[in-house]
Amino acid sequence: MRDSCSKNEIISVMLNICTRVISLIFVVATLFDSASWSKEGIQGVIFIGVVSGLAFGLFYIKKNMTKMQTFLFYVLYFLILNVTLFIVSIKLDWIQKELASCLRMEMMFVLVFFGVCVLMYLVDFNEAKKINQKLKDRKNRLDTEQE
Amino acid sequence: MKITILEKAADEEDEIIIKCGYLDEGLTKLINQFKGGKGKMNFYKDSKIVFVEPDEILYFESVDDTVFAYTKDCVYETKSKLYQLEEELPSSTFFRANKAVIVNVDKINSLAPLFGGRFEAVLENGYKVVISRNYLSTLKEILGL
Repeated sequence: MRDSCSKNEIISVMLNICTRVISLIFVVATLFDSASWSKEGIQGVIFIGVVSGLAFGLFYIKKNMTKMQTFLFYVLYFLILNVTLFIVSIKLDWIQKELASCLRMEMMFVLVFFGVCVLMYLVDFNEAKKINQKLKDRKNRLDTEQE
Repeated sequence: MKITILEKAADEEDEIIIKCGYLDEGLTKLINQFKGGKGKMNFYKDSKIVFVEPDEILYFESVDDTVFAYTKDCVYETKSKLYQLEEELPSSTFFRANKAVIVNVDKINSLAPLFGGRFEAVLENGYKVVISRNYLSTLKEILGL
């Protein structure tokens, strides 16, 4: 048997998250703002996507995390992304330095963050479904062989 | 090691006597073979050696440097380490689910996703084992996915 933790898998997950975050930011921002994107704006969104992907590497620092550790890593991940978003937003004048504007941005961020989490859960759910089917097939085959 | 072979009387049964200070892994494996339990694994329960078919094992778990084998109704102790078991066990049936557990694929009832990219396998005895994403590809490989 072998431990199949590969760098390729981690890179693939990071890329996946990066593309999902970028797509969701565009979708949510367009829904809320019907924004027209400047070159700097697009670069900002791509930067946030890249940070989201790279920061997800946090979850691979420690193998076999407990539920509490996973939760804490999620909180840390959420904070890293939140800070990155606000730095980019202020630099690109996406938000004004007033509460209403910040709250609006925070709301969009929460929406994107949980959107990505739910999407990832759905992907895993689909994967679990396929595995369950294979397990069922395997059990049926074993039962047939035993008979 | 000294080996002595004695001639037995015509009416006597063949007999092997092992004289040792400690029954180590090598000796227990030899005993296993002589007892005709080839393929069976030797574990300890209440200081006695017991032989169990690998098919009966639901999972192995390492707890504080001691490895336990769980069947549907019993828990046995083994002197082997998890990495040794990984080498001994058939890779088409057993896989590492996380750092401390090796699971028998045929004893998994169902699998469900957990947040954080991990999965939870429910075994035949109701026990739940967390499968790290890092190890999931081994399970998928076994199942031909």
